[in-house]
Amino acid sequence: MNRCHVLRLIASVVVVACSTCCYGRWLELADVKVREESTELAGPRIVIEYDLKDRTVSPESPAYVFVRFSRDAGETWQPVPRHALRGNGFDLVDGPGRKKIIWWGTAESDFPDLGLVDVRARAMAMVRVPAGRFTMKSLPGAGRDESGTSKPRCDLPLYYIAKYETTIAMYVDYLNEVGGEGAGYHRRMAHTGRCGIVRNEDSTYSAAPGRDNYPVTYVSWYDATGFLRWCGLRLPTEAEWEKAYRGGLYLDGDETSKRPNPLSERRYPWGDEAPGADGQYRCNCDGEDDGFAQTAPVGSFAEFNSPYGICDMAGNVAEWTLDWYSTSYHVGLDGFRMVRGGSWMAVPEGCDAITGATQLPLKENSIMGFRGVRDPATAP
Amino acid sequence: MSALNRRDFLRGSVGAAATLTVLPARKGTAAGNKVVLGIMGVGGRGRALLTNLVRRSDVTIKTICDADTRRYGPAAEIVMEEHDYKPTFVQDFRKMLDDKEVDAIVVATSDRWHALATIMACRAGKDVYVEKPHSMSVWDGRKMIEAARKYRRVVQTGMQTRSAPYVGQAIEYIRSGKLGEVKLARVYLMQQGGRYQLPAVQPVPEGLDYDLWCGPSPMLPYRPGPWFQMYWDFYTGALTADLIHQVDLARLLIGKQSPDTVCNAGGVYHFDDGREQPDTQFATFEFGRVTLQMEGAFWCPYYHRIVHLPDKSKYPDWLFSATRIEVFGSKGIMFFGRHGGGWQVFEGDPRTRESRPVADGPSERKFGNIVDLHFDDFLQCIRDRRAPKADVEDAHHSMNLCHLANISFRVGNRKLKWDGESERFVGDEPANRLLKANYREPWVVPDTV
Repeated sequence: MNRCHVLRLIASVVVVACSTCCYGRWLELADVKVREESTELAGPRIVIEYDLKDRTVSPESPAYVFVRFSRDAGETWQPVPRHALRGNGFDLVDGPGRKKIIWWGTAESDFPDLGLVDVRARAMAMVRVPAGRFTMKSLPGAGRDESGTSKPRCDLPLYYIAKYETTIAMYVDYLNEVGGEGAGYHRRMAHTGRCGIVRNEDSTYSAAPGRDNYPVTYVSWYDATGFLRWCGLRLPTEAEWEKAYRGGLYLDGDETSKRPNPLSERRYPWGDEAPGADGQYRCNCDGEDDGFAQTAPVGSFAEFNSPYGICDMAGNVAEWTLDWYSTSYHVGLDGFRMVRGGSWMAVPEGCDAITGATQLPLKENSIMGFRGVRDPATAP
Repeated sequence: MSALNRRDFLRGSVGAAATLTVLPARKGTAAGNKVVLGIMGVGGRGRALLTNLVRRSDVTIKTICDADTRRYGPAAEIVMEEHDYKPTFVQDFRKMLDDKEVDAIVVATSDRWHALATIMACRAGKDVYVEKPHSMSVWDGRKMIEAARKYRRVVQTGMQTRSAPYVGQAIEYIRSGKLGEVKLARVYLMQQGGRYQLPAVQPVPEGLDYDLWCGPSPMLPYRPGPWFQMYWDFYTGALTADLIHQVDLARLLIGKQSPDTVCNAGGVYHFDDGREQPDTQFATFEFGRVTLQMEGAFWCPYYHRIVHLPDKSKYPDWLFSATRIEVFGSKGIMFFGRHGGGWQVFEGDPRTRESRPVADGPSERKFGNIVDLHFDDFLQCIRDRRAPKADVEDAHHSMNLCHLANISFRVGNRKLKWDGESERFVGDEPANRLLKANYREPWVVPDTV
């Protein structure tokens, strides 16, 4: 992690190793400048400027930028509330270039000394899923959905979902900020073939060599929601997950309806062909013929993304969702959650658009990971 | 079903006369040797059991079996994570029964398969751990006993609390007379339930052998989700399927086997979702001078299951325990908890109008520990060739109470007389017609096992 020190204002950014092809980790924020400014009427404000160089960032594939700060020299961190931010460089950022975040209201934050505030901004690649109908084939949560909306939902509002499964590098960053006492870390994460997070003697964390860009595993449902809360995101509902996988009836959304989805009931993100049809492997599922005995770096099968360009919806790691699983008498009392998408150990048909599995939320294993969603209720 | 599968079926069907060969009793697994297991059904329950089993040093998980190939990954991962090998996968459980290396199978499928799979496994010389409710009907249960005895198999059922250390102490307390004369016991399943949904018919997903999955139940058009549990042909009801734990423990505590009468009250009063089974069910069983009452309802959010108590080192808050058992004696009342809840006896003084705890059996912090003990018992019985703590015959007498309550409901909540010897209702043919489940050919529980 690079830190840019400006007086005592510190902006931390994470730079990806290969900025031309591989953005599974945080997107690169370059040339970060952080300064304090005084205003006549509103008191002091903090201004963060950075370059977002990734040319793939667009309205359809924006960057999600969130800011966290510490006022005790990095001991504890908290999010900067979105309502306190202005400018073109936070939340959903829809294009590359020089960006600015203005943090107003710092006077309200009761900082004893603005110069002692540490600030970190991070950016994650997201994908826009336009509002509209889609063909939902699974029964979400077997009938219960914590989002509180009626099911099955075949018409969803606009939302944004992470382009990649959450990576080890991202999760390590999270652990280093919040996991000093071991929260969110499980001993088995050290397994280099199936995860690869090392807990160092000084209680910091690091990714095993070469593992930065692999999906994080051995995360319980609570770990996943903890990470996403930290980012200001949440898990997708099953309906959101399934629409992201298959695409809506119109890929540009129902409002414009100009791009009909050619395969709105597709079986896999790329279409109906089996993952290994014709000797070409389209995702990381059971066996090594696809090139991976265990997990694969996120985005390894980018030719076979979902219609919106979302990577690894099929296989690699199965993904936690928000939805409860409910039988008549369990009704969430025993707390099963739904996991979707299949994994590197799943048979090909287990990676399709409708197959789900139930897991207790405390369960963590080598075949489950997650990705986040920007809650549509608060999306701009 | 493929042509090959059809041939396999004709060879293996328990209903086919040609297959009624009495197998020699399998040689018991020698002490110190690992018991080789196959798991049939690796949905949520099967994977939970698998999680317990893979931690044991005295078993090898050789085969995972499920009609749905999509379940292989999550189940195999559990084995691989612990032992670094992938177990064999079979979709058709008969292949697992043909495997001479497999000593015993764990049946954790949906309920409709429990009886027939157990019978077929016994015939194949396998010992069996079968989840509860172990039968869909009185007939099922009797045939399971016959198979276990005929082929000298160990058949342990999934009433795990029987293996909890505090059970024996409670029985001893009652038998010693300290509770006084026991005249009444009550069991509860009072909690919040949920609606069933009937999703649209869909094509059968690839990877799912829907014929095998349905098994003895009707092969209705495929729909995702647990909608099928609404129907008697698939399920004994969400209340009795879980109440069996409490019913079994109460029967164990009061030391009774077959009731003289049963009378059910209740119906589908809360959920307007098309279910056949009651969501509100109160049944009374008379065992001579002792009465057992079973109370179940799915509209009580103020009751809580023991597993959700914040501090499991203490006793459940009995008043709000969704799954408690009460044994009423002439001297005291015993509150008894399943799945690790322990027990407490209270006595009272009518003059001071005060009641206080006078005896207890410690609660168990983790239900998983009890599951481990239950497997300890099963595996030791495999070695010793003796009946396990939740032997299929014990389970049968307990599950019969659930079946009897359901039958009373199905004939209009009538009070019925029961003959425990013949296992038939006295002078009530409409009720007797419900003693046997409906089976779909060829998955029929046979007359002769």
